[in-house]
Amino acid sequence: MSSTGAADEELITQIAQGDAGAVRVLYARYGRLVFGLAMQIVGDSATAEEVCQDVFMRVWKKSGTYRTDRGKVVTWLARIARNRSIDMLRSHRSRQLGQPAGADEEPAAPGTGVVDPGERLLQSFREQEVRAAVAALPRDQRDALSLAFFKGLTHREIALALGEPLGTVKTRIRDAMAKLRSSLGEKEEE
Amino acid sequence: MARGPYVWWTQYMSNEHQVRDLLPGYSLGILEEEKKNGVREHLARCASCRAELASYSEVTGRLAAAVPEHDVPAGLEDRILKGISASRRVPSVPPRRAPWPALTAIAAACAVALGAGNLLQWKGVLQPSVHGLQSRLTTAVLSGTGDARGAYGTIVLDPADNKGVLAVTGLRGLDKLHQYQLWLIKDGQRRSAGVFSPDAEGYGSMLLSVPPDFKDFRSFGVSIEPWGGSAAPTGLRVLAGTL
Repeated sequence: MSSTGAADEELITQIAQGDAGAVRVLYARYGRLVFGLAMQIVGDSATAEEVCQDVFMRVWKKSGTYRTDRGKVVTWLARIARNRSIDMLRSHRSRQLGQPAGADEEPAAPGTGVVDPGERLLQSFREQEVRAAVAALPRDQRDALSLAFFKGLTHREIALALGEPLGTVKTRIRDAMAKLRSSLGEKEEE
Repeated sequence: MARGPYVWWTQYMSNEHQVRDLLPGYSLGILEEEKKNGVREHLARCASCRAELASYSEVTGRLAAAVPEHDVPAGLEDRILKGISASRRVPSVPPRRAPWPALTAIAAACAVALGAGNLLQWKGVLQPSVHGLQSRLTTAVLSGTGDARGAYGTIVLDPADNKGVLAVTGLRGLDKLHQYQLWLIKDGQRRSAGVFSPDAEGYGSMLLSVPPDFKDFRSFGVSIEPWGGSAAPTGLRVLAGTL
């Protein structure tokens, strides 16, 4: 039987064993996070709801793929939610780019829809440790990482959006992730 | 020339440093298709890059888990649960507490000890990765007997996951009508644990199912048997060992 007091890992085990009640408990615990993340990325409630349904359905079907040595349940769940949200966003974007452009519109280019991506990244996290780690990144790294994380743009698309050389963008994202890994890893060990 | 780009790309992806540079982007899911496929291929054969990727994926997960929560629409929970109850569920196994990484690490060590070879095959079968050996694993060393004195092998058992591996080397090739068969031995009784055929260089490996009463089996043996194995040993014993 699923229990509201069960640890996250126990819930995943129960789900893997076919206990749908454990999905209800997991949803009660993380539904707001999954929906919030989807809202951050896709920006509209109907699509975010679709993401949410997909995420918990995936957990229901694929809970056996969760590995305890690869992080907490919440980060696993959040990764699934982000990936699904980015998939949705790309799907919408490609549909938009597929539409004929109006006479007064710019040629199709991967628009970011974000005036200040670095600032957005800075303001996007409620968890203090993550906020501090992101704030410690140089501004240009935050800009590039924000477009990667929230928009799912490729290196090439980010270079186009920021007007920077491709190699520079790759370096910024790589360095930003390495710094975050270092700073968040240190926090975890404390 | 058509071959040029392919050769360049093969060399590029074989360079671990280059792949490592791409892992942050891979963890974010922002690589273009060609690079993504190249990284994926490299990851399939490189445990250290898989571990590196896991560390970046954790960063991605930490960022994703740190965004503000948002009130969910009314009725969403019911719609999710309704979808779940209506779905045909694919049977799943409970999440593992990293049993295979430990086994894989031993398998890799065995492969090195045995001179590499086809153990790499089951490195791909076993789910690969990461952190060190765990105390629950049980190992046994097998030594060659009779005219197979140059042969030896290792058995690694993981009772927690009911799985194990056998790796041997130095065995002579057999004709098409015979195979080697592994036996678990208890009080003089022998139970088959499977058959295998070594490759042309004498390397052989096999995945095992660990029986619940494996601790009662203190000895192991390998004999030459008719193809497919026998109910009890009938041929020459070539390897023997104890826990």
